[in-house]
Amino acid sequence: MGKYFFLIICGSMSNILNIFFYLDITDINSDFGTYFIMAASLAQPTFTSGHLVLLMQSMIPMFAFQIVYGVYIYKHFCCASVYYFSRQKNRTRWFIGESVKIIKYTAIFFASYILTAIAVTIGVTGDSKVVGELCIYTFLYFVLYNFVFCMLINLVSIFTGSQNGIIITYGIQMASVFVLNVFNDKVQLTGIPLKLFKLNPASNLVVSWHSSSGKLGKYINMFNIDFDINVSLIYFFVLSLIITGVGGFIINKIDVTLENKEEKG
Amino acid sequence: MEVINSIKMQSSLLIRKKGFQISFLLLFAYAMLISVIYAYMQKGSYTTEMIHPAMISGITSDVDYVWFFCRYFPFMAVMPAGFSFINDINTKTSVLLKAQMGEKRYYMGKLVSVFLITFITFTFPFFIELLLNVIIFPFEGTRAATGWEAYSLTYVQYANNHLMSRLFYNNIYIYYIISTALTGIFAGAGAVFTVGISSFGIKYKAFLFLPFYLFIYLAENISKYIISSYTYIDTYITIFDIIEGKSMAYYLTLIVLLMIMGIIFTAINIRRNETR
Amino acid sequence: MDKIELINVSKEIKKKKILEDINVKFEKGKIYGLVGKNGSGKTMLFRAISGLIKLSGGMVVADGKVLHKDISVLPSLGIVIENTGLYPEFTGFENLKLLSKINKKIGDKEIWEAIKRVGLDPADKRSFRKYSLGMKQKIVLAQAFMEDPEVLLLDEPTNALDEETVNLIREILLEEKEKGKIIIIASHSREDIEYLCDEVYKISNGRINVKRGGESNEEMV
Repeated sequence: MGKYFFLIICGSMSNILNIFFYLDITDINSDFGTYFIMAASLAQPTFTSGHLVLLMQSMIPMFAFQIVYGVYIYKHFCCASVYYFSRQKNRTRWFIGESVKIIKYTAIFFASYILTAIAVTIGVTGDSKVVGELCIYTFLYFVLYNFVFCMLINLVSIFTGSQNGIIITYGIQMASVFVLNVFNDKVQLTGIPLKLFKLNPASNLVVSWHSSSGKLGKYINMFNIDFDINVSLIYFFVLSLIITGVGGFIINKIDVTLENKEEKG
Repeated sequence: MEVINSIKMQSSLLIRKKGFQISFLLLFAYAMLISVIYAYMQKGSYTTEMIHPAMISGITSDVDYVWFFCRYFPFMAVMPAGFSFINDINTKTSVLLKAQMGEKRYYMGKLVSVFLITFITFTFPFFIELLLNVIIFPFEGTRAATGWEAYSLTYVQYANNHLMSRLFYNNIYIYYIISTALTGIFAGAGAVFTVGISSFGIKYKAFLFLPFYLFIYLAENISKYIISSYTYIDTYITIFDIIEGKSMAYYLTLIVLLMIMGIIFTAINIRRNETR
Repeated sequence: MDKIELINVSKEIKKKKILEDINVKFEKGKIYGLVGKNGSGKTMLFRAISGLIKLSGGMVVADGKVLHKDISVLPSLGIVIENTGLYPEFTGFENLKLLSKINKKIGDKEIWEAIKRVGLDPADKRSFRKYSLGMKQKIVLAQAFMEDPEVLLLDEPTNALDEETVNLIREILLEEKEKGKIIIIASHSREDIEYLCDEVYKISNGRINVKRGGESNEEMV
């Protein structure tokens, strides 16, 4: 219970810090949806370096979470690996069980994050008409995105050690935000560039850049492009399945080494 | 004298490590890439319209992508030497080294060598870049990377916002060297802070990326309450930055704070280990 | 478990043959000794038998079931590998409890008894990282014995132990042998091999080239 409580507090604090540091909380003349987009979903209106830097700054709580849970599976390969895995009759089943636990912790953290954003939004705007769909999409995007990268850190760390796992995974995330800068007056969001934009994990993470024909449309659709909000959900879901599947396969094939990668000089 | 031997020994050990070699090479490659890009961009230009050789740098704020380099900065500051203490503990070489040189010399040598190696990683590539720029580009170039004339009234007004703006007006080369050195000092202080945190017995090296990262995140966001101006750390670690509101006192305070915390944490844990 | 059979077992790492065509049968109710120089492949053989590594060739068959095909690890195994530790931040008891949760075969009582059996105090609040070398070896032995496994693979079991504890461990192994366990020990100690082993294999450059059984095992060590 203590662990869950700590996660909830951290999730809540993460959102409060992001709102406090990066949001103009005096802008209260907005409805729930408009304010919530800014308070929770990493919305940035352009691809200038300034806005992309703000996007990266807002992702810092996510990176901190990924660093902590990026060693959740890896830790079993550090010490006592021989005694742990000589007892594991089915490593793949074990791996899937650990993956489910990571999803659980990710969900708790970001549920707290989103609920805090909802509370702040209602408190600031006075508008209690919660746009449930918006909250749910934001929550699912955050959970699946962070699950994918936590798992990636774990898998890379098993082979290279935790510091390299972080460097490589953080590098991928930073690069995926960095490349969005080309859409700032250099390249148009049409044709093949748009397809590449849709494959970029960072662009899939930001709810407000998506399009929706339903009532969500008035809160998102920032760039008026064909970028269906449901397709990104499927994209993250498929990525999650792939990483879990690949991880389960790799875990079964690797030799359990005696060396502790954290102890390598 | 013996402390110097300890520093020399531990520094030479760190230079042989992949962490230093990879970070140095990455920064060197980045610095060279910037020079090559600007050489290409200025191809066919008149010399008087060219950029001043000292204003082309991987860490000048006028370069488009330096903001993204700054996002990697907290990670890169830890890479060369931030893990050295935890590595010594894990491989148990700390026991051998302490037996050879004594505990005090070991720790003093450790902190100094960590600072030095990180400082070298963040300064030498850009010093070499300056040397290269001076050879490649003509001295007659007077523009800033943004395209403004470096000595025009418009730019001079903005240049008042540089840290050490007087030095900038007097000698751009010395300004470049000292600003770059300050960036190296800030990175070195971050590495010392990380080593101090690692003395608490952090189990996973990945966690050592967090302290400096979070320090910078908090420092940026509470700066508006301390110096009445919200500024990214990027505006301090880059050179020729024209964003107003910077404070040298604030910057130096952060550096000193990082160093002091690193030293205090290490001292606390020496005492703790003695009494166990 | 009645027997474990290694059939043409080989393991290659980066084109270097660590184990080569190992053919050996281990039966219940016997203690087998494995001797050889440092780097001869003893630990790698243990890892192969325990299922911790994938084989480059051959197979390990335990009561008709093929490892990595029918089963992924031996169903009832206690293993000690030289110089591998437990979780440093937990006490001995907490470490064993954590490991016991994987198969859920035993409870606190069995763990308590296993720790006492090797001569340690189960109520000791010190974390594993604060243990002496001998204490670490004892707790690791306790984790091997605690679930009453049918197979025991022990790499240098009496390493770093005082004479009293060495005698204690020898007695435990003889008790386990009487219960019909398959016990394989790797040791540089001539006394351990002479005192305990029914059969001894010598491993050299990844090959088992000599086998001795019976009373005199002097020439093996």
